[in-house]
Order: sequence, then C-alpha cells, then structure tokens
Amino acid sequence: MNTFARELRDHVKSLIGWSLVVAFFIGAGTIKFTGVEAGGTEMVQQLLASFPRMVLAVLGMTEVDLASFSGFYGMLEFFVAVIVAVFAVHLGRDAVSRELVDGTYEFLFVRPRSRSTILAQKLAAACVCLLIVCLVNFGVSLVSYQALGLSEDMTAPLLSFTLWLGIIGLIFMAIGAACAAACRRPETGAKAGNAAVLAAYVLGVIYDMFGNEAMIARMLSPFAYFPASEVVTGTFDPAFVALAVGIVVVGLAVAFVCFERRDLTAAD
Amino acid sequence: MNIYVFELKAQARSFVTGTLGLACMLLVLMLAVFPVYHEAQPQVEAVLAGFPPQFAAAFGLTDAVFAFSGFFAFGFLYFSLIGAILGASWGISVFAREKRSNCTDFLLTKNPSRPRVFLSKLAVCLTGIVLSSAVFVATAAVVYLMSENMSGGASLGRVVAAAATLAVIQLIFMSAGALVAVFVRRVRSVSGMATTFGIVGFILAAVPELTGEEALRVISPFTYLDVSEILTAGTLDGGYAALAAAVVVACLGIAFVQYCRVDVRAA
Repeated sequence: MNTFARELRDHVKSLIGWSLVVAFFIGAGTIKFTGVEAGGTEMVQQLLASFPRMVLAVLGMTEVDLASFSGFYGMLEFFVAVIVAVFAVHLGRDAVSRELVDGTYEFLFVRPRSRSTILAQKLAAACVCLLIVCLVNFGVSLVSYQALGLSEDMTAPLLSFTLWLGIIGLIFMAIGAACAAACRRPETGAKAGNAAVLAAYVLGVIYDMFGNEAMIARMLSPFAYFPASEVVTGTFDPAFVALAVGIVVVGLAVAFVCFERRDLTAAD
Repeated sequence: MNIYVFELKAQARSFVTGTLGLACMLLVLMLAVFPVYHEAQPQVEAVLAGFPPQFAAAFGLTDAVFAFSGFFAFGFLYFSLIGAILGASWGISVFAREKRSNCTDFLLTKNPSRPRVFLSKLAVCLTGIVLSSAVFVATAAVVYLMSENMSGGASLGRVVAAAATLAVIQLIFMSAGALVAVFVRRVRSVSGMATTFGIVGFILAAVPELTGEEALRVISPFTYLDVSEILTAGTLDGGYAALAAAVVVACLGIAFVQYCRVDVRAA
C-alpha cells in the first residue's frame, strides 16, 4: 500500500503537466469549433465519399464528418490519444525502471515484499494516473462543449471517447512496462517504448491513407483499432477489443515475468 | 578538441541511425507512396467535373496538391516530427551526459574552461544536425529528380530550401533540449524527454490550424517556417523566421550562462 501511495505522490508533478497539455489542447480546439459551411453539407459529404481515400488522408479529411461536432471532436481526440500514449509509455517504464535509474532499488527490493507485489502497486498507481488524465479530458470536453451552446446532448459520445483514451493508455502502459522489463538497460527499454508509440502513429497514418487494404497496418497500430466514426456511436469492434485486451495481458505478463527474473544492477 | 571527439564518438551511433532513418522514410514515402497518390488525380478530377468549381477551390484541390510539392509538404510534417525528436534527443543526451553518469565533477576539474566545454558540446550537436540535414536535403533532391514527370509546381531550388528547414527545426529542438538538460536536476530518460518535446510540439502545431487563430502559431516551432509556402510561392514569413532564430539564440544563451555559473551538485 505504501508503494502505491508513494508512487502517486511522485507522479503528481508530471500528472499535472500532462493534464494541462491535454486540457489546453481540448479547450482551445473545442471552443473554436464552427460548423463547416461549404455550400450544403450533404453535397460535401457526397463529394468526399467519392474521393480516393489517399487524397482524403493528405487533405486530412478521412473517415469523419468534420461539419458535425462529433467528427471534429474525433479528430481532436486522435491527437489527445497520441499524447496520452506517450504519457502511458512513461508511466509503464517508470513503474519498472525508475528505481534502477535513480539508484534506489537496493533500498526498495530488500523489503519483505516480492518484486511482483511492488511492481503491481506501481502499475496500479500508473493506472490511476491514466484514469485522472482521461477524466480531465472528459471534464474539459464537457465544459467546453457546453460553452459552445449547441443543442445536441454529447455526453454519451464524450464518454465513449474517454473510454477509448483509457484503452489506448492501458495498451501503451503495458507495452512500456514490457519493454522496460525485458531490456537489460533502462534507456534501451525507454527507446523501445517510445519507438512503439511513433511506429503506431505512423502506421495509423498509413492505415488512414490506404483504408482496409492495409489491414496489417491497422492490426499493428492501436490508434487504428477503433476508428472515430465507430467510437462516436459507442460501438467497439469485439475482434479489436479482444486484440487490445490480448496486448495488455501479454504486455503485463512479460513485464512481471521478466521483472521477477532479471538482474537489478546500477543503470547504464 | 578532446571533448569534441569524445562526444562525437559517444553520439556517432545515434547520428548515423537518425540520419539513415530520416533518409529511408523520405525514400519510402516519395518513391513508393507518391506515385500511387499521383495516379489518383484523374480520378478526383473526374469526380469534381460533376460539381461546381467552388468545391475544388474550397478543398484547395489545385494542381499543386497532386504534384510533388503538395505531397512533400504533407510528408514533411512527419519528417519534421522525427527530426525534432532527434534534435531534442541529441541536445539532452550531450548536455546531460555527465549529470546522468554522475561524473560532472570529473569533467569540470579538467583543464578546459566551462565555456569551452559547453562550446565543444554545442559543436557536436551542430555537427549532427548538419550531417542529418545534408543527407536529408540530398535525398530530397535525388527523389525530386527521379520524379521529374510528376514534379509540377516547384523547382529544385525550392524543394532544397523546403528540405533545409528541417535543420532549423532540429536546431530549435536541440537548443530547447540543451536548455532543459542544463536546468533539470535529473534526466531519467533521454528518449522519453525528447519524444515528449517532439510529440507535444507536433500536437500543438495543430492548434492554430484547428482554431484558425494565426496568433497561436507562436506556440509550436513546427509552424514557424511554412513548407508549403516555400514550395508554392518561394517565400518565407520573415517575422517567424526571426522568431525561430531568436528562440535558438535565447535557449542556447541561457543554457550557456547557466552551465558556466551553476554550482555542481554532489553526485
């Protein structure tokens, strides 16, 4: 219990910083939402639907209906998801390697608690931090949306997107923890985790460009598992939910197993 | 000289992988993806033929969008993201090296004065930036010449100038990284901090576009030098270019003063 509380306390500054970034981005983006008028939205959508997908990707207009708030919000949330992913990888990596990097592992791991217990508490604290960021996202979005004064009730889609953020965060936290635990040097693990986020982002863009022909890209990029158009309606494709759960389970398993077995030595 | 050589050897692998990574990304994007994209033009034009001309204008679907310049401007956003992360990582890695290995006192008790140490480290970072940017620009030029038939709109000179803005972005992030490295008490993960800088800067670059507020361009270095403007009109916004220079000078200046004055913590 102690470790859990300590970890939370140690993460406070970082949590505040990241929450502010998310809040600023959502606030600035949402407040300025104005519906796109381009001579009738129906015609526009018809036009967009007949463009080759890659052209839409380059123009930045795939998938969603930008004239509606949910479409616009979906686009905003994609960026927030990337931010949350980076934060989540940090949290996962910190849970595993912070004691190594700080040189305090000798102090902590002689305590009468197994490594797994300690790691579990650290990861639990990381999950709480993720939860807080997601709640900040939801709160700021709700407030900004109400400031817009539009009539439609958006609470359900906003909740849906917040849940999506949480899933992305969990996936990358598991990946970050697994990379940090499996690599001998903490810095290598950190690099691997961050590279995973960047790769997932680039693959997400590629999937955006090529559509379902690039199914491999979609499977490799957690950002593409649940497209915004589906999240808005609250539908999460069960196959990809299973894949997401699978990644989290495997990632955490790898983290725990490797952490139990590895030699803890001074970093770098 | 010794410090320069030492740091260079320590950073060599990172410089090389970064340079190669950027060049490969550029090659793959422009040689494999661009032709497919370019082929979509007749299809789009056929669709647009059935709609009033205002639509094409509303979506900015001019010829330039389908030419080399349009696609390069699109892809450049991602190259600059990688370039920014590389620049920040080099800055942090070089300037926080002793802090991370707890041997600051070892270095600072040697002969070279602190200004000299700082300048040697800065020289190494600049070497990396020049190297990676030169390779990137050369690759861009080669790719441009290979896509001769689809190049409409931008001359080689403009493509080179646009590609060279990568160096500026790397400089800005490198100086920001150096500044942070000198000030923070501890750097737990170089790549983590660098990725944070890069990604947050990248995301914040979307804000002026989303909100339509031109004034918000100052919050993210990615928007200081507009690549599409360079490619289409061949001009730069002087004010923002000056801002970029000012940011670099300010960051490095403050870092320099701090590095030379700060009291070193006991390891």
